[in-house]
Amino acid sequence: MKSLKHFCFSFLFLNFCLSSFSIAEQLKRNPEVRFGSVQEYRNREALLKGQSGSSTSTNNPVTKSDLGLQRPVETKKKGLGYHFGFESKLLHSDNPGSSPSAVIDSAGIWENSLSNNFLLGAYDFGGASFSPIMGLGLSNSTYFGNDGLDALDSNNLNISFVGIFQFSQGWSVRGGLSSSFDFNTDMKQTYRQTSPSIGLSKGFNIASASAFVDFSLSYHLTDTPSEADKMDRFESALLFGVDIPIQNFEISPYLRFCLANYGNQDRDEFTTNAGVDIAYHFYDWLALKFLLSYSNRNASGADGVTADFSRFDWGGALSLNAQF
Amino acid sequence: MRIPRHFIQTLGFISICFACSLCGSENESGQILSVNYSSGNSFLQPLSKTGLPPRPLCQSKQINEEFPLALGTSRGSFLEIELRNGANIARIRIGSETGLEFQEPDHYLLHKGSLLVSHREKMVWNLGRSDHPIQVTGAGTWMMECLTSGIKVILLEGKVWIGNSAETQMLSSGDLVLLDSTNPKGSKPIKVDLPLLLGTSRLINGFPAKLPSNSRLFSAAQVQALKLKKKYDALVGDVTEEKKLQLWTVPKK
Repeated sequence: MKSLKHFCFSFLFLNFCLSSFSIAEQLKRNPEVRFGSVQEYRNREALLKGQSGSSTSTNNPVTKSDLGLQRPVETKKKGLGYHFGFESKLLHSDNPGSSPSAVIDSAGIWENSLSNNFLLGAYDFGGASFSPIMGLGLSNSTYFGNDGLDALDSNNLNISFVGIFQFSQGWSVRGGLSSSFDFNTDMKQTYRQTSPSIGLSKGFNIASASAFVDFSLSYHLTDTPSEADKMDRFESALLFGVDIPIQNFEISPYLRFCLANYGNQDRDEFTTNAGVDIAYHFYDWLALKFLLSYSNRNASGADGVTADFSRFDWGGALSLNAQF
Repeated sequence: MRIPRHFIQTLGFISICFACSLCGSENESGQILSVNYSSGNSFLQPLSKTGLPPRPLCQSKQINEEFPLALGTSRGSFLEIELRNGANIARIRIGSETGLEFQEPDHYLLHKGSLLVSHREKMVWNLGRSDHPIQVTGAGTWMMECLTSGIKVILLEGKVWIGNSAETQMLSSGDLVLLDSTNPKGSKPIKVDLPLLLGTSRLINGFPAKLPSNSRLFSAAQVQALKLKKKYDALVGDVTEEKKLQLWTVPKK
């Protein structure tokens, strides 16, 4: 009986050690997996939308004029603007490490992100308006609910500069440069990427909903302590999104396809990211969100064999936005 | 078979007339007027001779009448004409219940109603009311309306100078000025909400074709929206005979 008890204990201990070793061996961050592009697009759009929308009445006597409604406004000289955003997300992920096989069944993620977008002016080019935007973002991700998740905890600093030309009919063209720095919990840099990019977008309205299509090309120059520039890649991405306002609710589904080619590896990959954000706006500046997203990556090439993954995240977020 | 001489002469005359009608008739002024669009009842009143009746205007027709002449529209009618003056081309959109007189080259009188003028090249317009002639110089898209007392001018895009030969002031996109005989260069410009104006103007949206300056109108409105600091809860209306500007409050949502 004693030997049986000893055997059981030894088996459990060995099993725990093996599983811990296995998690420590296999669970590492995939810094190239980034899902922030939808939020980045929406933050920029919030700044470029300005203070549109006017309350008018067709019964007013001034509507008799063929000239149209003339509402006095006050304008700034240069058009400097600032958008501030803070979002605190609590998510459940079935594959938090974006690993090929689910090393960990599931985990919780607490993510806090702060975004600052500075509009550096608005310029009329006679047929197109030009707006340079500088962005500064900070985010922190903490994983919980399972052992061995410390490797995934990270802090991120993102600096970007984007110049956007907007044309009539909802078309816009942009070019930009962004740098992203990842740090571990000891604030040691674990990953860096510098990305020149160009993009073409088209926004349109469907009844009261607004939709957009965005195509972008970017090259990521990377630096990882252990792998140097192995993650350098060329990405082409297509993003669709719709914002459907229903009273205080806003339903925002999106779909993103991304094709990446790694220059320093024999690896190509195709990533699909689909999701929906359902926001309830208490005020213009405060919203509570329900988030749902599914991601899938199929990689090919000798170095891409272990890069396939699928992941399902859901959770909630508290979002603060302000514009000056 | 010999073709009779008078038959050839007649054929030649018809060909010349046909060519003239295709190319448009050039007034003595060197200006060519043609109708781009007409809806409802629009008419032309020749003023060179007395007693001539008004003629209805048809779309895609040249206006061969000599100056002076007047163009008019009845209620709910709109008219767009193209004015060619050498290399310069201007679109003139005439709103409903409007009377516009072409007195002589570059001299026009707005008797009643409203109009929109759009041109890329710098042009000089002597356009106003009989009691208050004004001069608009520059390039862009602008609108003018006869008020109970005076005239209202709004520049949508471009850059123009407004006033008379003695004093002028420069307008930039979104500027509204009120002019009368006591204030020839106009009031201090009031900035108006361009996206709202463009969205509600019948002189812009009441026509099937977009203005050639449509993309410029968009960029001017977009830049104004980005520079926006404050919207006032009021709408600018008429100027009464007592020279008081009517302001209407914007109903709250």
